Amino acid sequence: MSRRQPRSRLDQRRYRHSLSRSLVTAVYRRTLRDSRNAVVVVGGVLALMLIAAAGAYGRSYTTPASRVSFANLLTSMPAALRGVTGDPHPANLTTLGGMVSFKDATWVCGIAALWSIVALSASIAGEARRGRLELVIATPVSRRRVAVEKVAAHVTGMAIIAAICAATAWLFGIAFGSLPGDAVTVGNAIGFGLWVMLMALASGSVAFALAPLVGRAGAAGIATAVTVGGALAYGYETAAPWLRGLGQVTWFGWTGHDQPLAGQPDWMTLIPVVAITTVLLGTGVELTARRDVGATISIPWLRWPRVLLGLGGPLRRAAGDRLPIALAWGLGLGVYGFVIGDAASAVAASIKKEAPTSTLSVYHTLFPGVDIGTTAGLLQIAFVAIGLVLAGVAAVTLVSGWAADEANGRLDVLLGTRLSRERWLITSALGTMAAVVAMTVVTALGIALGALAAGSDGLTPLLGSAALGLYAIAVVGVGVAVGGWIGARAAAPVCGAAVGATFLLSLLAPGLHLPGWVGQLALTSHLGQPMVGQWDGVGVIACLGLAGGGVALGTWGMRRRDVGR
Amino acid sequence: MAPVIQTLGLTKHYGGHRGIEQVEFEVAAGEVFGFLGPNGAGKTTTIRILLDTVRATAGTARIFGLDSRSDSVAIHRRVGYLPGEFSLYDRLTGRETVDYFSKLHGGVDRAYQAQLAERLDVDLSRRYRDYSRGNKQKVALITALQHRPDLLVLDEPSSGLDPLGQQTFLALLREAREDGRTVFLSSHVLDEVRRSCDRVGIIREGRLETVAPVDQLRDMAHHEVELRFAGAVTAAEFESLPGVSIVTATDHELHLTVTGEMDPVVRAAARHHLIDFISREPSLEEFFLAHYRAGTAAADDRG
Repeated sequence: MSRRQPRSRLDQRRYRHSLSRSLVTAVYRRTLRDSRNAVVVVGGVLALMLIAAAGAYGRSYTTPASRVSFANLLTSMPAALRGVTGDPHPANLTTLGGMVSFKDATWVCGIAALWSIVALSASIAGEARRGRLELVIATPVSRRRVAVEKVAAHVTGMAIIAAICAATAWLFGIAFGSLPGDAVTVGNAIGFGLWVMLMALASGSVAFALAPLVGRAGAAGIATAVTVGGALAYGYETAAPWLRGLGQVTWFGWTGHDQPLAGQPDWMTLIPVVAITTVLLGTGVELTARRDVGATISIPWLRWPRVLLGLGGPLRRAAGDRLPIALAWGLGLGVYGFVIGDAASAVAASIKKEAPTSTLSVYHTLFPGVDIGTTAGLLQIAFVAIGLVLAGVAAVTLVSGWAADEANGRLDVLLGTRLSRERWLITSALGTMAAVVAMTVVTALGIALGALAAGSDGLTPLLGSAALGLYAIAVVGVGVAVGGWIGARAAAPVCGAAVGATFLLSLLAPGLHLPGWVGQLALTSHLGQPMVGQWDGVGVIACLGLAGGGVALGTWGMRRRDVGR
Repeated sequence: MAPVIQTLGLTKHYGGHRGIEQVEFEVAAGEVFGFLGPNGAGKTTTIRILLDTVRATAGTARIFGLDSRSDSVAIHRRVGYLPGEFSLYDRLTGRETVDYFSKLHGGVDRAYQAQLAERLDVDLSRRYRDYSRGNKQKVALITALQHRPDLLVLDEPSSGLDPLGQQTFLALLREAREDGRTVFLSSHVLDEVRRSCDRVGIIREGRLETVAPVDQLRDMAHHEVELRFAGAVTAAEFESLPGVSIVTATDHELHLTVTGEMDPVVRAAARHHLIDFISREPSLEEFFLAHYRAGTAAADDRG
C-alpha cells in the first residue's frame, strides 16, 4: 500500500514528521532486534551461574551451625585471601544471598560488562566501518538521534538482562533457601539487577565514548582494560596494598558496600556510577554527532615492524595478521598474572603466618596436592580457572580473525594465486596457533616476573602457563575443523559455544552436584595443576589431539566444499 | 589452437537455488571475451567455478587444457584474478599488499609493478583500509596484473574506477591482447565491453543465451527507422514488409523497427515523396536492453 502523498504545506510538515518518527523508532527496533539473541544468551549464562552458586551453597550448608562454621572460616582468613577468593569485603556470609554475592557477584557483573563493551563499541563504530551508518544517517534522522536510539536499545537489552538476574536471585532464594534470611526480597533482587546493569553500562559507556575516536577494536580494548583492571585492583587491593588507591577510584570500589543479595543495599553508591555513565554515553553521542563518520585518530608513526607483518608467505602472514590481537591478549593476561604472581607471595606469607589450621585443611580438601602457602599454589587456585576462560575467549577472537579470510572475500583472491585450498588451511591454522604461542609466552613472562618480583620461584609458573596455550590451541583446532568443514562463519560461534559450555560445565557440575562424569566432560578439568608442576597427560594429549585433528579434519573438509563469502 | 577456456555443460545449484545451467563456451588464446548479464544471472558463479572456489554440480571446465578442479593450482600459476567483491589486509599498506601477492604468485617484475602503480595513479604507501573504493580496486588490479599472467579473469574490473582509471585499465587490456594474453571479463560497462572485447557471451537466469562477436551482436539488433513524407502515408503499407515489426504513424511520419536488410523499406518509401530517411544504428546498450526485455517477456509468457 502506498503512503498518502502530502498536498498542503501543513501536510508536508506532518508527512516529514511521521516519516522521521517511523525512521527513529526503526533504528531503536532494529538495534534491539539485532541484539536479542545476545541478550538471551548473556541473561541465560548469568542465570545459570547464579543458580549454580546458590545450589552449591544452599545444598551444602543446610544448618545454622554449618553456615556459621563456614562463615567463620572465611572471615578468619587474612583479608588478603578473602580478596583472592571473592569480594574483599563480604557481608552476611551466613545467608544464601551473602555467599552468592561474595563468590559470584563480580563474575556476573564482569560478564555483563564484557557484553556491554562489545555491543556499545560496535553500535556506532562497527556500523560505520561496515558502511551501514552512512545509509542510516542519510535518512531524515540526525546522527545524534541515531546514537541516542542505539544507546536506548542497548539500555533496554541490559534492563532485560538485569530483570533476568533479579528474577533468578529472587527464585534461587525460594528454591535453595533453607534457613531464615535465605530469602531474597523483591527489593533486594531488584537492587542486585540494577547494580549489575549499572556496572555493566559503566564499562560499556567507556567503549561508547571512545569508539568515535579510536574505532571499535581500540575502544573495546581500552574499555576491557579499564573494567578488568578496575575489578582486579578492587578485588586484590587487600592482597597488594599498592592497589588500594587504584581500587577505590573504580566503580567496583565505589559500590563495594552495595551488596543487595546479602541484604545490605546501599543505593546511594550507585549515584556516581549513574553520573559517570551518563557523562560517558553523552560524550559518545556528541562525538558521533560532531566527528566525521568512520574517521578515527590514527598514529602514523606507530607502525608494526615490517618483519612482524609476515609478508614472506601464507603461514607468516596468518601469524602476522593475528599477532597484534594475540599480543594484546597476552599483555592483558600477563599483567593479570603479574598482579596475582606478585600478590600471591604476600598472601602466601600471610596465610602461613595467620591462617588457622582449619582454613588450610579446607583448602587442602578442595585442592588436593596444592600448597596454598606457596606462590605457585595460590596461582593455581586464583589464576588458572579465570586464566583458562580468558585464554579460551582469546582463542575465539583469533579464530574469528582466521575466519575473516573467507568471510570477507579475501580467500577468493588468495586462492586465485598458486596457493591451494589445503595449503591455505594448514598454513593459516598453524599461523593462528603460532599467535597463540606468542600470547602464551607473553602471559607466562608476566606471571613469572610477578612471582620473581615477589621473591618466589618463577620457573614452575612459567611452565605452568603453557596450560593456557594448550587449551587455546585446542579451541583453535575446533574452530579450524568447523571452518574447514562447514564454513568460516560458523567457526568462531561454535568455538565460543564450546568455551562457554566448558566454563558452565566446570561451574555447574560441582555446584549442582551433577554426576562426576558431567564435570569430566570439560577439557579444562583434565589439565592437572600445572602451576604447581602437576600435569595431567590425558588433557595435554587431548589438547594436542584437538589441535592436530582439527587441522586434519578442516583440511579434508576444505577440499570438498565451496568457498563461501 | 586449443581454447584457453572451455566449459561443457557447466551447471551449479546452490541447494534449491539456481546458479547456472548447462553453460558452454570457449575462449581462444589471445582473445578478450566479455561476459554480460544482469545481477544474479550467474556471471560470478561461472567465474568462481573457473577459479575452483566453487565446485560445479555437473559439467566440466578446462583452462589451458587442464581440469579447473583437479589442476587448479597449476592453472592459477598462469592466471591473474580480480574478484567482483573482495577484501584485502586492512593493516597492510598498498605496497605491502602487492609485495605479499607478488610472493604468492611468483615471477613478478618489480619495474612492471611500479609502472602499474604509476599508470593507475595509486599511492602504495597508504594503508589499505584508508584507501577509497576506487584505489582499493586499483591495488587489487595491480595484484592481478603484476605477474603478467597468460589469462586474466576479471569480475567487474572497472567498478569504482574514475574515468582516468577506466582509460588506463582499457589501455592495459589492449596491451594484454597485444602481448597475446587472454582476458575473460565480466562487466556491466557496455562501452568498456564494446571497446575492449572481441566476443561477448550473454547469460540470463543462469543460461548462456548468446555468444557472438561484438560487431555481429550490433548487426543482429533492430534498426530504428524514421521516415518523413511530403504527404500522408498509411502504416498498413509498411507493416507487411519483411523484417518490419513495429510501425507507428503520426500524420506524415512513420517510425519503424527493422531487422535485417533495409532494401524492402527503401523500395516502399521510394513510391512516395520522401523528405527524410533516418536510420539509427543501435548501440550495444540498446541491443543488450532489448535482448533482456525480450527474454523477460518470454519468461513472463512462460510463467
